[in-house]
Amino acid sequence: MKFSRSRYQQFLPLFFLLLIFPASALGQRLHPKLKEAKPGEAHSGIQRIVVLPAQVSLIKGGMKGNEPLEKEAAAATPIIEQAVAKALTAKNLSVMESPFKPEALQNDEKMKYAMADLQRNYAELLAKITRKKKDVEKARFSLGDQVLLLNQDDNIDAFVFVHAFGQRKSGGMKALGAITLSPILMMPSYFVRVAIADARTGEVLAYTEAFTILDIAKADDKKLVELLTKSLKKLPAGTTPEKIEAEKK
Amino acid sequence: MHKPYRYTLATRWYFRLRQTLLAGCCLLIFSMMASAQPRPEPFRFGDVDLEFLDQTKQLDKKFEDQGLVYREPELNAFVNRVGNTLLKSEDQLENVNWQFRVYRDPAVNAFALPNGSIYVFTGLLARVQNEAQLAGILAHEIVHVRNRHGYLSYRSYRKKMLTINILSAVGAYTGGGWGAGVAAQFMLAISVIGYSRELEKEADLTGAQLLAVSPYDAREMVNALECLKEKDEVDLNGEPFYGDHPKTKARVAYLNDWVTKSVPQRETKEAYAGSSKEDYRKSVEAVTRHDVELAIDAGLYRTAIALGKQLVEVHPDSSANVTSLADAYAALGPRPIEPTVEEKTGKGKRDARKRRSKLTLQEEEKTLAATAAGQELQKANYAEAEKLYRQASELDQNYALAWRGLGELAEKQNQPQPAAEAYQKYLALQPAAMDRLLITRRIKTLEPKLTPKR
Repeated sequence: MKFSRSRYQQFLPLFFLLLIFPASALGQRLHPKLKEAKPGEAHSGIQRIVVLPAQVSLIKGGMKGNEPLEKEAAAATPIIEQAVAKALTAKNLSVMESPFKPEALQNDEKMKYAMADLQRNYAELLAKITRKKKDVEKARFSLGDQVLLLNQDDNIDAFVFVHAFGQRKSGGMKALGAITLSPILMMPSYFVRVAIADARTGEVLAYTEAFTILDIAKADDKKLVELLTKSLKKLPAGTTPEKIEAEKK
Repeated sequence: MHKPYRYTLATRWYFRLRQTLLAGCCLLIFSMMASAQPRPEPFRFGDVDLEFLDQTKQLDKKFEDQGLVYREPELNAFVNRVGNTLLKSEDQLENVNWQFRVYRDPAVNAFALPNGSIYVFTGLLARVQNEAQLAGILAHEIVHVRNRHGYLSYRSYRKKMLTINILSAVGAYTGGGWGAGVAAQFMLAISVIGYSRELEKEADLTGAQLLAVSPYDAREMVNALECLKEKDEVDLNGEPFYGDHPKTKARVAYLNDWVTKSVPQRETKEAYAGSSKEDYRKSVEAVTRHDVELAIDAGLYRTAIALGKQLVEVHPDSSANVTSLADAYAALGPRPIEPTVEEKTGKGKRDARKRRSKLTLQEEEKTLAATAAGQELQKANYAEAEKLYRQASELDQNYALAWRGLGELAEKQNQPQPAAEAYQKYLALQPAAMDRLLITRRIKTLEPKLTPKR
């Protein structure tokens, strides 16, 4: 093999870095409204939250190119949604049962379209957010009051948008990665992007990204929940269930 | 002790270039071998094809679940009828379940999945001029499914990717990885696109043959392509230098050539089915209105205006159609109806691309409205929108959406009183509206700005 010394010098640290830190939260941005509350401190801004259907896209990178993994992505969707819900529940936020699951919207075309339009608008906005994530802190991004179309009973405080994409590697690709000393070819990679938007004004209140080389589509979502909890660390906590009960009394 | 010999920079570059060229030539030979393989007749499914089929079936469900499929019983029946007219008994193929569906997207496009699901975009339905043109587009997609183009492309892509990856490994082994990698990627792109173009041409020509033996006029396929060329928006990207479809101009030329030479003209115009523009426009009236909303949402304001005008032409006395056009004018805001000369220049397109990538649609509108010219245009477009909303409400006094539009327009122009009144009228006409909470909240926001009644 004719690999230069510098190639090894590049490969080895990256390889070990990925092995030691297989998952990392890439950044958390909060809207000024939420930033005012200190982490861990209860705040009254958002309490009742609904996780919208996650947009998951998976592919398998092999020696013969990329293969779509639509079935696997469909199977991973509820796992990822649940993991996000668990991470938010850990923050004392009340995650409500989603009324927007495909089965629930089966016969409600208007609501289905409204959901599709909102998801498309969010995808458009996401491109802008990822370009300048810091601007979330300047309250720059909003989906507009159209979000109210999905909040008809006015009982939801925030919607959670989840986008996840990942690439698995085939055995052949891993071997190629080893031959060419390229960790990117050897390791799978998954990104999860979570945004929390005000369910009345549409403002993007929080945005976070996480990266991992661990399979996010596994039924055991413990690691994913840990990663998401870490990536939502700065998000101020909601009110504890006990306090909610006490307030009701 | 001898020092190791060091090559000069020029020599090193010479080696790299030589390796790159060598890698390119190898790949070219491999990819030519991959694409020049005779097609197996009849098509036999391999494990990879079945896996690919399984994955694409999932897409149907995904589109359905995500609200991307447009449902309107009459339109669905219409599209199905046109599609089924083109199918023959021998089209009952293994692993194909023919379905013609409408996809909610304002782009002028259509696509076919290998399992027989053919999707026509709302943008395309609104754009073509008659049923026969729609049949032409469907014929093209049917050929893709019938001739198993999806599987063939996928097989070819896999073979080429394998070649590339082997070359990359060899390149890395011999120390010429970078050059070989770049050359291989370039050759792959050329080769994959080239094969895709071949299949597209086949779909065009076989599709025209399909149309020629159907009740429709095969010439309408040429007209459909001509019609797809027309654009209301400035095409920010333009046709690619070497895209996966042949250039539209070339497609029109070869199709025209084939139709002129091979399709005899029928005696009367009545001998052809689906050539009436009026009948077609009526069949797609509701979906065109839906597409106007989608176009506005996507920032395709000029397209929305063109479609709105089309709707008013069909039914000038329809409040819904007039309101659609009014919505388009209101959304156009500070932009001119026709693209300006500057917008069409290279610099204009670059600036627009930059703006679109950086700014949200609302920010873009604010930026444009801050200029004197933008303010002028906004005033004129809002005036036109208001005129149309009023016209719609006169045509049908109970048509709620016109009042909603008037409310939004007044709110945009900082006129809280008329805005609140129009919104209240809307809610009175449609108390169970899906957006009642949204409108109620808007009224509440306007309340502090209202002058108190004596």
